[in-house]
Amino acid sequence: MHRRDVLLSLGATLTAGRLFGRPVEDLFRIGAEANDRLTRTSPRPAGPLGPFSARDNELVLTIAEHILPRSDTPGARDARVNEFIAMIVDEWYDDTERATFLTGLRDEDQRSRDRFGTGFLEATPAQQVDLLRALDAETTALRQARASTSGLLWPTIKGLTLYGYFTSQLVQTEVLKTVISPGRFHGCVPT
Amino acid sequence: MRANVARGPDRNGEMKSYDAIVIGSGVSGGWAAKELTERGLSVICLEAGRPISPEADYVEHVQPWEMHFRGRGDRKRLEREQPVQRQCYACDEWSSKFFVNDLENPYTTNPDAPFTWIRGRHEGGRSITWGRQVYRWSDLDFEANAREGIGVDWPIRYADIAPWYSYVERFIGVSGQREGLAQLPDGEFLPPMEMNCAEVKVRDAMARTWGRERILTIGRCAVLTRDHHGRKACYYCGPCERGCITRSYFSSVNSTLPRARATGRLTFRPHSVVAEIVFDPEKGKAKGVRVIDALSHESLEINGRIIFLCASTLESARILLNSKSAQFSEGLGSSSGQLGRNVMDHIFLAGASGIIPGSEDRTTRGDRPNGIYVPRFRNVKDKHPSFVRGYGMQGSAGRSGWGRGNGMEGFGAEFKDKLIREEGPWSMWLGGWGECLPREDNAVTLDPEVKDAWGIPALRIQCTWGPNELAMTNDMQTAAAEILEATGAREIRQFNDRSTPGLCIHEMGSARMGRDRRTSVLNRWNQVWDAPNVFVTDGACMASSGCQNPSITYMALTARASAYAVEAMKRGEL
Repeated sequence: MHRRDVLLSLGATLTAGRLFGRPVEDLFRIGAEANDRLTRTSPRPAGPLGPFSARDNELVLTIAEHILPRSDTPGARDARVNEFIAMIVDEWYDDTERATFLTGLRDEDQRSRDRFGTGFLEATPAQQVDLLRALDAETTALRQARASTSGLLWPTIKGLTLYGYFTSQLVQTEVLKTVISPGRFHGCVPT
Repeated sequence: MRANVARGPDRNGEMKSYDAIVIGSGVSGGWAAKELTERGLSVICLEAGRPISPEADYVEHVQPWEMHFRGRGDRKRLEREQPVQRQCYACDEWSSKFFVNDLENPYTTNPDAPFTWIRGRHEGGRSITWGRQVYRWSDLDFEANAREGIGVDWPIRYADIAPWYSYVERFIGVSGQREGLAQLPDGEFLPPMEMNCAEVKVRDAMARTWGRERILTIGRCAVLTRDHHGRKACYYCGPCERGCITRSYFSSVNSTLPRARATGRLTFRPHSVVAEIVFDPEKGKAKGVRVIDALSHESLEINGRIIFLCASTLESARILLNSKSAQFSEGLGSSSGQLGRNVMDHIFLAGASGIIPGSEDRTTRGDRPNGIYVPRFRNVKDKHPSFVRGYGMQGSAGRSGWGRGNGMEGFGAEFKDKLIREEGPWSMWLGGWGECLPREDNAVTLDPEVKDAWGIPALRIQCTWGPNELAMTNDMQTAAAEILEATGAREIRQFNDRSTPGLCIHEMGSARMGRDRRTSVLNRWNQVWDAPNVFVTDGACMASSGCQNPSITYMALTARASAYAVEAMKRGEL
């Protein structure tokens, strides 16, 4: 009864089979269509949202868009991952987790000021990427040393961005084209 | 058979007396309701929880973006109201409604000996969320207690139950591959599901290394691979535990209860919490049950000529323990001193995982609701130095999707495209499901103080693993690693997290069958020695635990006992 549980504990995601394996041209076409549609309906401008001030919200969106930027497929901003993240931080997190997240976000803003003399949002995209690369390297080093990354902003926001993006209706239907009822099971077919 | 309607309908229009009372509507209760009604009896099925409507309650097609927490679950509510139930993987944002509220349904344990009691109180019980794995027992299992002098001997052998396995399998539909193994008899199988690329590699490597001594077969499961008795073949959407609108997997709601209703002889009464079985000392048998209406909290009595107690292992024990009378002050079925004792579960969460190289240009299509199975190979022909009995292994292989991005270095367009256009390598995991020995000190009793929301005494559960189970988990992890090594797997990681008792949701025992009324609670027909018109046919009846997923055995024993009960009634014995 617990196959999935064990599997999840090992860090695998077995939904892969129904999400992937389309020809590249197909994906480019999907991306182009999605882009067309998105330029017609821009995401709502960031203001205060749940536990986020307007600046928090824009910080989340900006970092998330660096993690999963718009290319020939939609980006994190298109998928409105900030709305998902705000909901989790507001309703799913306890008080300590919420405070840790918000502090982490504001610390990143401060780190930008310390390094570039300007807030994260006002820094150039290249400077922003530099700051995030440092965070990514820090997380990687901790993982390699088998040290805890708990409470750090970067692995948290990266995980929430991935989850919010890939479970969104936009990405599930337009990019991954998840088939809810495949009809058959094939165990070993070309990707 | 003529319906015994001694008294007229009560103010709700319900008959108060029936040929048979079935307590519970899960795997066992559903089968009792079907068999007893089809054999002519008027039956009332008492379900403690709410009714289930597939159209309204099944949510297997609801997508993550349609869920408030995107499928992560309402954590704060779960922590508050279902702190025990949420330990089951299926108790998620979609399916937590198929699990009890722990605040309304308390139980107690010693602080240093936790027990995880996962329960479903609604029409169909845990048959809605079960893992659907179906494995027959063999005489290796039925003879084990006698051979080793552990517990009591089973009063039946494989030959007694084999025709009933077939009978049940033909009705519910079981897909699987015939293997011709003595320790895991073949059943009446629908076509097997396919293995995937990596599973085939492991199967072939095992065949090269161990021949027929240690094999890999596709899981045998109660999921239809073709249309069957009016139910549709599986279309591989994946999450069975959320329901199945095409009724492609077996549950009471999908399969047995509709048959029972079709006879016109079934009264289904939801919200009916059975507090006790009422014993008639003059006749030396039970006359009915005392029910508490879950909604009104009113108490009522319902009478029946026979009673099938199928409330789930520990709920059945609780009802028997609470059925105190002048004659049986420790509960109905307590004369042997064995009532509540010999509680077992399967020990699991020990095994290994690894990367299976190759086939990077291959993938799967569809979400197969089934894994693979390695039939028991320990203590079948050889004798293991550190434990008796054995374990079966379950597992599966697959390629990881976007979730692997959490552990990947980097970010940006290339990172995103990789997650969208590529999959991770094939990985395989295998874990053991191990037999647990019956021990008298693994016992449930009524808690002297704590009561549930309906004023019924809560259970106090004492259950720990013994040295045999613990030794087995060490072998599970090394044997699983051996199998992966034989396949040429990389990055093999062994794990041994030893489940807490109960977590496998294969809890059984507490009212064991036996040959002698002095040492067992039930006879060879699942009749309570102390009250022969009471049949206990759920997991409570088990005298040993085997290592196979047990539901099919409960179904077969229930069908067998139902046929016996009706014949005995015809002979005027009950």
